[in-house]
Amino acid sequence: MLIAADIILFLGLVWPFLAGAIIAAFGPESRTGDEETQSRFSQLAANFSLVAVALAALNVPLSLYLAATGQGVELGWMIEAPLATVGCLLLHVSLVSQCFAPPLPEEERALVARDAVPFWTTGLLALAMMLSEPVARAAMLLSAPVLSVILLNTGAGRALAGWNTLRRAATGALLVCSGFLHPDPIIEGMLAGCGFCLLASLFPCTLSLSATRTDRAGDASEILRANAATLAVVALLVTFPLPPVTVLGLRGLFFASGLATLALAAVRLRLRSAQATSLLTQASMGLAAVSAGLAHPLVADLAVFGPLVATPWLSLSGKPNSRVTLLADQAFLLPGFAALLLAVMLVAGTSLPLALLLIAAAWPALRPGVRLFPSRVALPKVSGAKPVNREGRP
Amino acid sequence: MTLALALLPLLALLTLLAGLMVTPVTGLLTALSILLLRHVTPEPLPAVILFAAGSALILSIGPAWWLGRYTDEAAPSRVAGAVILSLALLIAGSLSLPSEDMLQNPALLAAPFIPIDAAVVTVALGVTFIGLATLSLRSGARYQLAGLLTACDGLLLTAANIRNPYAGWLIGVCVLLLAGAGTWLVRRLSLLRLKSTERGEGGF
Repeated sequence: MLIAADIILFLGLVWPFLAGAIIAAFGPESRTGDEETQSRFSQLAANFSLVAVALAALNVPLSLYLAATGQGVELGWMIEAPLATVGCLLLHVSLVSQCFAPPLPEEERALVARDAVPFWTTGLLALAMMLSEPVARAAMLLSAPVLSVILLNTGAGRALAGWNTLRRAATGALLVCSGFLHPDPIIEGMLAGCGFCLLASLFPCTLSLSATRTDRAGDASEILRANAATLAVVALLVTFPLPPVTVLGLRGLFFASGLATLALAAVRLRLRSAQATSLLTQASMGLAAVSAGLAHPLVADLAVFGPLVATPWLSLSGKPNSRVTLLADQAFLLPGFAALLLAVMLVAGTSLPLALLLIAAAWPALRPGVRLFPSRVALPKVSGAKPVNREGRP
Repeated sequence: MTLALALLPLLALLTLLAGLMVTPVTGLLTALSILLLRHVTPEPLPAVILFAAGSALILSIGPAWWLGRYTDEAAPSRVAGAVILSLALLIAGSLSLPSEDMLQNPALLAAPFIPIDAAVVTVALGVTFIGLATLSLRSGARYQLAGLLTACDGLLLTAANIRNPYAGWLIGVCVLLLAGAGTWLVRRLSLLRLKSTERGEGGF
């Protein structure tokens, strides 16, 4: 059983890189080749992502079984915790969602490896979940955005967006690395917390971003996946390998930053000062950070699940009465709402003032949503995203 | 504390004002400090230390040479925020870590991260802080790149300062990748800037 679990785990970790390489090798033919080649290769990425998600799904019961029977789940350089496999499954599900979503209008000058980039970044982020060394995790979390910036932002006029992404990710990751290499555990926790907040683009980064952001969708989904993976990794880190003093600093910083992100996004939703999709994504990220601060990785995974899965489909929202759009809205909102309820419940168990604070932070976003909820059934057309965005009231 | 080490924060502060011109000197001093950290021990230097020193040299000299042909942008530069933040971080970093009594009680320290020289921890953290403040607050892509390179130098010094420098390979590779990507992006930004100013002067 242990051997089988090791083999499956190894395959699951290696497969994204392999699949990305195959897609990159055959990608040009699928674009420029004749009709037959195009039809043969057009479904390649989707099928490969299905294989990846099957491998990741197989990992979950195997790691649960191994953890239950107490066999070796530590392989020296990596730890196969059940929660880490759940995080990997989450990332792979988002990859499937992106591969099956209708293709966006593409840029001619983008690199031909564009279809392969999601596989590679997903592989790197899944590796970040599994590695045992915190420094190595931070390095993997840095390498995924750098790779996507190098390979995706090749078009003209995209250097500035890439440079800004690189600045944010590099600042966060360098802070995290120098924190994890620091001898003092208290400073280690504070530095790592600040760095992870920047790496996941939590509160200090959300101040100015959303107003002017007009990223191409492929790039935005890469950033979103990297942020979600960062949050999941932090939620894992606070449960296991770090010393308790470090964990305390990390958790406190993450709770505060997530709460600030959530409150800011909620107020902006109320004021409708930016695009509602990105604001709701921010709110979900903040909620995930709060759950990471509470040391509940599964709630954090649930909070990032909605944006990760539904974002590739939301570009369809121009199409009226589309069942897919309605489904995407549900998938966008419901996991986040469930995560909010769970988080409030869990906080209320430990401290009532914190629970009230959390409710107060999320309140401005909930009220318009609840008030406008019935119009959702009558007007599926305006589902630009979600009930809170119901600007097109009759 | 060697002279190279003492000069490092000063040079990092100069990076705020002078940008990429100072970066080769910073890299040189960082490489020297990394090599001098182990001058007490008689055995030959481990390969990872040589790699860290080499990558410090490469990442500081390479981008400065590569970007030497491009001009700075003409827009007015904002320095004040970066200077204030980096000074505050520098002071906070050195205050929070009294380097004298840090090695007194090793029971407090996390076991794998015992530093060789306690003073280097503070200096490296200060250099990293100044670089990151430059990267995030200074205007102008070339200055920001200089800040990124300075922060990478500080991180390499931190990684080399640990008694068992296993993280050196990983950090070196990561930092080289980061510097390469940053140089590539900033080169494209500089090109765009150059073209637009020429067109502006051409009477459009």
